[in-house]
Amino acid sequence: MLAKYALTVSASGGEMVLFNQLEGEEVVSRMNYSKERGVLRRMGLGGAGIAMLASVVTLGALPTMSASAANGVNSSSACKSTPVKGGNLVYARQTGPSTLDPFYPTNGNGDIFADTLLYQGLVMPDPKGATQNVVPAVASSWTMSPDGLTYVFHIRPGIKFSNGQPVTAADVVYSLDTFANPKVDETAVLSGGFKSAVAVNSSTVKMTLSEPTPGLLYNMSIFDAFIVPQNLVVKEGKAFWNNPVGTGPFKLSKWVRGSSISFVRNPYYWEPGLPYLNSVTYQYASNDNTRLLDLQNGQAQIADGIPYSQVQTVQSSSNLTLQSAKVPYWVGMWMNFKDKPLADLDVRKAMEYAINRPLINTSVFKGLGTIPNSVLPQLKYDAPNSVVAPYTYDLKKAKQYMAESGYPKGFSVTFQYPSGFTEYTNLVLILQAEWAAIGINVKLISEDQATMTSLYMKGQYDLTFPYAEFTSDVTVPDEYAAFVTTYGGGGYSFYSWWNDPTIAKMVTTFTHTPSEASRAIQWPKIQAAMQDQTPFINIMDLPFLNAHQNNVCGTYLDPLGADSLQYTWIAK
Amino acid sequence: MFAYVVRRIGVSLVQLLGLAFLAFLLIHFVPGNPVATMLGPRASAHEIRMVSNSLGLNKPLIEQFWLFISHLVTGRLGQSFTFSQSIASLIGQRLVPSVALITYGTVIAILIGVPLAVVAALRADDPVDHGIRIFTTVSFAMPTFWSGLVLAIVFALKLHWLPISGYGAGFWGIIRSLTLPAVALAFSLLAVIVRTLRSSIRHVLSLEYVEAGRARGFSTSRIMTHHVLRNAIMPTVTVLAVNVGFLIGGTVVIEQVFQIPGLGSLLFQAVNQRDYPLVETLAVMAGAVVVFLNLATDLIQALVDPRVRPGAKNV
Repeated sequence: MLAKYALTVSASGGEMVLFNQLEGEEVVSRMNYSKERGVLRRMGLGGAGIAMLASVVTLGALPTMSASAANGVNSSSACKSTPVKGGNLVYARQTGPSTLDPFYPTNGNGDIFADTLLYQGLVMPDPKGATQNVVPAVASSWTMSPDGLTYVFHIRPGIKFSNGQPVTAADVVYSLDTFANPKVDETAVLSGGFKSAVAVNSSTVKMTLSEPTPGLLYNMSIFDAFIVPQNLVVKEGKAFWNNPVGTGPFKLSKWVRGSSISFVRNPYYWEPGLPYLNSVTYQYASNDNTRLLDLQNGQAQIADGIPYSQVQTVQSSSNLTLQSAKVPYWVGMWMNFKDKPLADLDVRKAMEYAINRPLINTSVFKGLGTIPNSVLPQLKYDAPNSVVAPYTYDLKKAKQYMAESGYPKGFSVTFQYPSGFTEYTNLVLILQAEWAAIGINVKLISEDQATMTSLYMKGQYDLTFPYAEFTSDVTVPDEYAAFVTTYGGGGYSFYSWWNDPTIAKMVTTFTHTPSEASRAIQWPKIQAAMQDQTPFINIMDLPFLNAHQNNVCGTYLDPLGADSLQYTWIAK
Repeated sequence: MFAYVVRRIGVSLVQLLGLAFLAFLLIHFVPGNPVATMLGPRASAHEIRMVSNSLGLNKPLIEQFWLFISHLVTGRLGQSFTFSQSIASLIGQRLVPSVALITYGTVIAILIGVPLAVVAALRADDPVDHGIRIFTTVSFAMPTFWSGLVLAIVFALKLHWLPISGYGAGFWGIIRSLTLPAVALAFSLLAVIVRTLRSSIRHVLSLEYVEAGRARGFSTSRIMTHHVLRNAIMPTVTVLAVNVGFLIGGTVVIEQVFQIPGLGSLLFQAVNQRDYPLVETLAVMAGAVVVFLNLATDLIQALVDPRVRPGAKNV
């Protein structure tokens, strides 16, 4: 849920003529008139303008491929040498934090990506992104009882917060209690299964679960369960979050709200010799062109959220490297099951077979997308294409399904898509044409993100993208599998109104099986069943695209797309 | 005169109230739920309801409006939904960059616009005049986001004279970082200055006292600075004052392009997140500036020129 913005206001014109016709005293009153219209007009240009921005800058686009690095390994020759300590990194990012309280983020990734430098949980997602597992962080090791109901965490010996204060079992218990408290933790829904945590001794914590919930450990690896010092949070209250301490590789040095946030090396960081960098500054530039210009100018060394329209510009710049990181990020399209035609499986299959994904990948996503074999994003335990096959483009098959459906003559639907993204505009035009070929008349409606999400939650849509930038919080399927199959309690299977008790039951079993081996067998079956029913259409799996100067090395992203930058260094 | 002032202030207050009402209604009736936007995909309907209640969004609209008005009147602006800060402190942090940008942009527009207007008026209808008029029309027609990007590419990326984006520290740092956005903003204002000033200079130039000055052998520059400009500039000042409202709209875009942490970018973010109280307050603030400037202009005119006052019958 990265924030990208656009307003939709139409621009009015035709005021220029006015000036030529004006003379003398009359000017003042007519100018007043033009002023009033002018405000609207300028706002209008702004709205339309920002939507158009993505295509404005194309600087000498010569299509020569520069090295792409998977989840962060820069292969440029400068990075082959031994890492050196020092250096200050400026990172141009799309969005910044509104708060540094990890338990209550209000600006999505803007908050989360800053939190990841400052804090860590007992466990963390593999920071190099090599696997989709969790690895030790504040806890150096842990054990799970065979019934999956008890976890014992051993706090890393000697670990300290960035103010030098040791991390105690009491801090861990306090943080976990906060994690599970819906009054202070916005995402307490992710603490499902948590029953209690107690300190066994000063360095050991025992966590008890109400039922086996193996996904809980993954939910604890992210921002919602970061470990914070109990005494300071209790003493300082909300003020603590203006000057917080954690066990992350960096600590806060300066926060200019709305503009930038700077961090310096945490001298007490537990990984020996890390981080390499002296300081990191996140400089916020929501405008895609501004970020890229900052990077080209050397005002920043790394930039996130490279739009597809600028991939070629980055690839053709000899001093820049494009970094494509595999993350659970998908272009998920929702179909409203309250619409009879969309509840018809034959119709949905026809729609799937009518999509020419290779074409979409090359023309919209510059070939950087992955054709999915799951209706959810790429998650742990996913089976390969040989086990669960992706839908292939087959117009004949699509027409056949359509003919066998309850709607052989076709039907009409509306399709809401987010404004301000060139990629979405191109994508929906292709889909509209492809579905027209099987008799589905698609009417496109562009909406801003907040409107689209709100209509989606009310079920006022036929086809929609619930979130323009749609990612999973965790690497395991537990979170989204439960969301999309829970019909009751006002969830309506993530507002799709799809109701399949068989698959829902498979998911419930999966999310409560403690054995890793058994989970790895169960999930592909669920993946295959959902792929067959296709209650959602995953158009494409997408990477996170960053770009950096060639001499910035070790820019790893974890499997969720967050960077903690402890391995990042700047080559001479 | 006193009755006029009272009535004029009364009208302004009604305008402000109407503005507050409109700002409130507009943002509330735009679809989009601030809590759902804030909490993201993982929020359940129950959670959304809980947070909505704690923010007072479950109260009837009329009660929410009353609360908003009473906040405005008492000056206790309350808490932003999304920034976990009070609205007053948010606005306090963001005010200086915007005011600096608008002031700087206006100064640049005057420094470029006044000489151009003088030249255009003196050389009326010859190629120089046409050139100036075409230039100002084009600069007016260029969208600020576009002219801003072009300026950034030329002066920052290619020539390395100025930073591409951001907001510097210290007086010179601020001046350096605001130069390109201020020029982009000035472009949108140039036409207004040059067009009004040019016509009023031409009007004044045709008056008898200017002829008399010429007949006495005063130089053109002396006539221009001592006699013409002083009389011709008043309409431009008036237009400029009311055009500040126009500039506030312009900053929303330009602050976004140049990443200036001002009120414009704050408004943009607040609208996207449907941060109701913040959007309402910012909209009323921007409107209040325009209402106040209009009021000040009217009152000053009435003070200076008795013909403007209502009840004056000897026009």
